[in-house]
Amino acid sequence: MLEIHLLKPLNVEQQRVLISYLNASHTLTRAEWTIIWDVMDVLRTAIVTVGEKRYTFAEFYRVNIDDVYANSFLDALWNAEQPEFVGRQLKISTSRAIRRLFRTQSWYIPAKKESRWLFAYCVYWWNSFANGYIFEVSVLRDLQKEGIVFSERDIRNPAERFTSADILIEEWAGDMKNSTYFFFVARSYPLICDFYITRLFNVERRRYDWIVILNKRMWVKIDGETKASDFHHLDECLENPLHFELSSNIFIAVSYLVWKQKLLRYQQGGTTDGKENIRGNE
Amino acid sequence: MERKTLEEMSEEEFDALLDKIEDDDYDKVTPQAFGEALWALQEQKAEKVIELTAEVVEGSLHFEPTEVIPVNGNEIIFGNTRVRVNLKPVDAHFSRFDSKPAGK
Repeated sequence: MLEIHLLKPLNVEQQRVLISYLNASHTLTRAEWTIIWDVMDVLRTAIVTVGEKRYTFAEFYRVNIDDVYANSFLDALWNAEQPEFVGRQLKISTSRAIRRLFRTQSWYIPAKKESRWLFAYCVYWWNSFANGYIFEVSVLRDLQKEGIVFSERDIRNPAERFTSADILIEEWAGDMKNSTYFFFVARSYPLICDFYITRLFNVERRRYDWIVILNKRMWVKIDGETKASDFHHLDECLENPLHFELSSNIFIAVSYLVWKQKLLRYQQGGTTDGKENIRGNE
Repeated sequence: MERKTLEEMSEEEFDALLDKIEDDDYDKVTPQAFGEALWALQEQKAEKVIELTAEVVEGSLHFEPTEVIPVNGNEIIFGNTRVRVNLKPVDAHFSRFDSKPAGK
């Protein structure tokens, strides 16, 4: 027996925004972003009853997907020489295994259209989880290659996966989140880390540009001038560091490459004049 | 063209949607979309602020009762949901990083 119950029914608009988000998130308007976060909240707390067992969607995902697949994925990712390539292959093969599991376990029943909610929820969170960690390990490898000194959490240790920071550099706590995950973190505030490494999709070049959003405390230490901006011109941070206000706090957005070079110079005891004109992510 | 909902899709369309999730189309957030989302966050946060005051009594958080929202000791009550706030030792987040730097 499989029963699905959304505690708060989703209206047609919310359902259509969800599909737009999954198909092409870059088309979402400001109002639609708010809707999608509400939809995610509704789905997280939706109830699924499987036989005698009753879970929220979030609990179902943890027990039947995360507990089963996460550790082996993270272990393989951590040990991979090419985390982006290996991680992506493993992410997709696991996602396919999850899709088969849903059918063999009758967690998805085609005649019960509402079971698509749980199915899509679990496939989405698996892929989102995997993408987040592929990004995190890729950044760690890059920082290591550049010679930046840092301490990182051990993602293979389940207890450490849920720490509020992913990395420590000097006295600064940092978090690495692919863009959609970043918004879920940013919904809780204040943003408690000193810096967040995230990424923007460059449509023309079909690739991601990495950026860093950091607080003033860190920026003042590693130096540099910024130009006032608003959220509509975020892509300009790839050319020059920008500052903007979010929830009454000033944040700096800078290309990952510029941030990394300033940080390396800081760690090597050098000075930065903040006037470099370095193009990001070339 | 209006998009179909999950329940309106055919079996093939639903399968294709799962394929798109695996292709990360939802995660291809452009700078413009990222900016829109930040604006949305900013606006959402401005909607309503509820201030609570708490003190630590014998190692547990105690919220002061308020007329705005029901509280019970270390819990905040939203309808049928209780948000229980537990305290963590101050350095618990980062103490595990204290061993050896891994970057170099």
